[in-house]
Amino acid sequence: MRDHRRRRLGRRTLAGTGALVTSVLLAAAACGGDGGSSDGTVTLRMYSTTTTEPAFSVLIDGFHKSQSKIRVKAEFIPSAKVGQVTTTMMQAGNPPDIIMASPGSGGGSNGMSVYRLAEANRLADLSARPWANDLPAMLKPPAQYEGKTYSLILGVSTQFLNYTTTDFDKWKVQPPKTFKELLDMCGMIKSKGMYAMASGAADMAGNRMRMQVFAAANVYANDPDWDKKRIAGQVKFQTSPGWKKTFQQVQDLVTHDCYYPGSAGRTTEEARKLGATGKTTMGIGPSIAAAYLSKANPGRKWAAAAVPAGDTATPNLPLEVAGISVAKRGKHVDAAIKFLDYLAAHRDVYSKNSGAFSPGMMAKGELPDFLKPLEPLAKQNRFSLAASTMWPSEAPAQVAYKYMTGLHNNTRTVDDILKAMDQAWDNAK
Amino acid sequence: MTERTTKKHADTSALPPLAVADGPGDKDKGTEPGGSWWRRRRGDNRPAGGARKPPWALAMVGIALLFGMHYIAPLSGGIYAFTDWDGFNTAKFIGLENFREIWNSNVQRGAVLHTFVLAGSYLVLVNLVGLALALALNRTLKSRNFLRTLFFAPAVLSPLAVSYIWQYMFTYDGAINRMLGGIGLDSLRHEWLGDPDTAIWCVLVVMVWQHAGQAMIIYLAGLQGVPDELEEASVIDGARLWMRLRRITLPLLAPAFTIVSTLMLISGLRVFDQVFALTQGGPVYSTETLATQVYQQTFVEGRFGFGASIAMVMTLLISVLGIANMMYQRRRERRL
Repeated sequence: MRDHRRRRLGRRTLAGTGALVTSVLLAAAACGGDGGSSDGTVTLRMYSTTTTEPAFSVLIDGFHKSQSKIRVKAEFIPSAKVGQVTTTMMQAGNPPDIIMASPGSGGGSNGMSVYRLAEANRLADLSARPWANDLPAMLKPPAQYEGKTYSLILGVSTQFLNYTTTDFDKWKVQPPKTFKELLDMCGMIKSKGMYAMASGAADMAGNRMRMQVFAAANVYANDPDWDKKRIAGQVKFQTSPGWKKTFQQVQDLVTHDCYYPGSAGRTTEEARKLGATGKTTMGIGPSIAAAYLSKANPGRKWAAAAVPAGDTATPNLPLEVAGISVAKRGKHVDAAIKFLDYLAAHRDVYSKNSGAFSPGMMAKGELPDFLKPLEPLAKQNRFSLAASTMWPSEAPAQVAYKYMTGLHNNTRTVDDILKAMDQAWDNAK
Repeated sequence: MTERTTKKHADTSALPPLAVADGPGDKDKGTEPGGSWWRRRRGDNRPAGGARKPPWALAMVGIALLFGMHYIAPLSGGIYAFTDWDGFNTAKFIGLENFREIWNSNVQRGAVLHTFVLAGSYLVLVNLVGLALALALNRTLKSRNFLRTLFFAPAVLSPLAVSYIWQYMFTYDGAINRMLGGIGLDSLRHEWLGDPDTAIWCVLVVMVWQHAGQAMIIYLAGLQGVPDELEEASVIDGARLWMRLRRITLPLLAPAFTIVSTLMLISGLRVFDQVFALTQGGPVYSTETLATQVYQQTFVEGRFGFGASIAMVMTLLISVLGIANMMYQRRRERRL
């Protein structure tokens, strides 16, 4: 009797387990829907960096209010993760509808460049959109691949010298206009018991900013076609005086005690804190850094000036380009394009909330209020794309960022960096 | 039919007596339902009162899932190690080119070296500290349970979170330099994570700090198996502390040592979180390990094929060293 009951129980258990497994599988299948619902509403998925959250939150709210059929579900994750998550989803055949591909070919820091994805036929062709050609000439190549547009350029941002007027007014000094003035000022500031700048040389972001600023002034201001020449094999990093000067100036800042001690082991975020706490008086960075400093310590006032790199007082401003694309194999391509149409019409909102400025402003030589001191440069169109935007791969830039830390702890020379960059360029497949 | 019945009968009779005999008190053995005859007739060879043995076929689903999810997917992914796959375009077979690049690249060779240095030093230190803690806390201290919890606590924390806290402590204005300054050792203030000579040891300190408690727990469990009589007898025989440790405690802890060293060797060889959070492989590649290079090449530089080849080298190293270590320790255990 007992065995009989056990046998029945066994069958029941087996049947129950089977039913449970089936229902779990059915539920899982139901969860993996196409983002559509019975009332015809579709949900678009996107992954973007945490720094873009303020801007996209406003834009997505506005888009939801403007219509009722398309919802946008955005997740904001650390920048290092965006490429990883998006790439994995694309490889699994389940791409997010909206892709934050880096305009150009360099790949930014997430390995997802517009060129690479367009070449692999992963991005929707946006050439027919009314905003596709509504760009300054300089911004078209990063958005296009083989003559077709694959990216909506949302905005551009630049790096500049951020200095505290609180200290400068007290000392009755003006921001430096030449590189020599900057070096001299480092000594003066040190004599006041402070340091001119704090460098976060331990991470990529800080080194990237410094390379972009000094290369814009020393390389691209003099030779806007340097990238094309390097691709053609006509020049090398090692044989280009501009590149040598780019890294030499970074090293000069180190040897002239411009940086707060401990740069090689400090991250960019920690470096900014030193500015907010009154240990440093200047910094090189984007508008978003300036906003952080003002917010972190409202008692200290900050202003912008051009980084006095290069020989002249009119250096180029490096442009970091922010773009957004649509996955060609996404589930809702048409809806995603409608969302991009909305974003294109509200680029000013993006700019206002992200510290960037729109391509339209750039074309007119206008800059946001905080960057007004740089407007004379903008009026002269002294812009250049950030170095590596149009390089065939991200590898040379990655090597440079890693080696630049060595300038801060005297373990690498300028020539070491240039040689490593050439090797990385030539080895890139 | 007869043959089958005979065979079944033979099989059943081969079972141990307990498995076929009914309980004492059965009046009519072999005839009642539940009796041995009844079970033989049903083709049921389960022990009386015991659970029914499920047929092997049922396990096939589990085995297939295990192989499919744990082995086939990673193994098939290994094919990419022999390609130039960039993650999106069609992969082209390039033979051993990726492995040649690993061999010829200073960065990759450095990553292999740093992996060995970290794993080897970690293995030694975590064993020493873990054992020392276990021996110290295997006494009748009032606070021993509290202290055990305290030392084990870091092991349950996220390695990333722990590393970010330590990163703050290692910065130029961080707790360590401040402490040195506070005790008049200003000259020792250092850029701990910014100096290639010290950065890798900082990573090691964090790894050991976090996992020594884990080793301690395993050793404490091993110490519970050391009979008090042996210790007492050796004390009566005049053995000093060091002699007792060397001749009694350590030999009896050999199985625990095998477990700790195998686990720690593997986690040392695949270290990623601590390096990523503390130094991101820097300064100037001086803390780059195989795991961080897999990430860098795959997700930052978009070289999926090359990343897969580094992952394959790492997997082989872990497998070979892990198994070799296990075999050596087992042999050592037998010798002891």
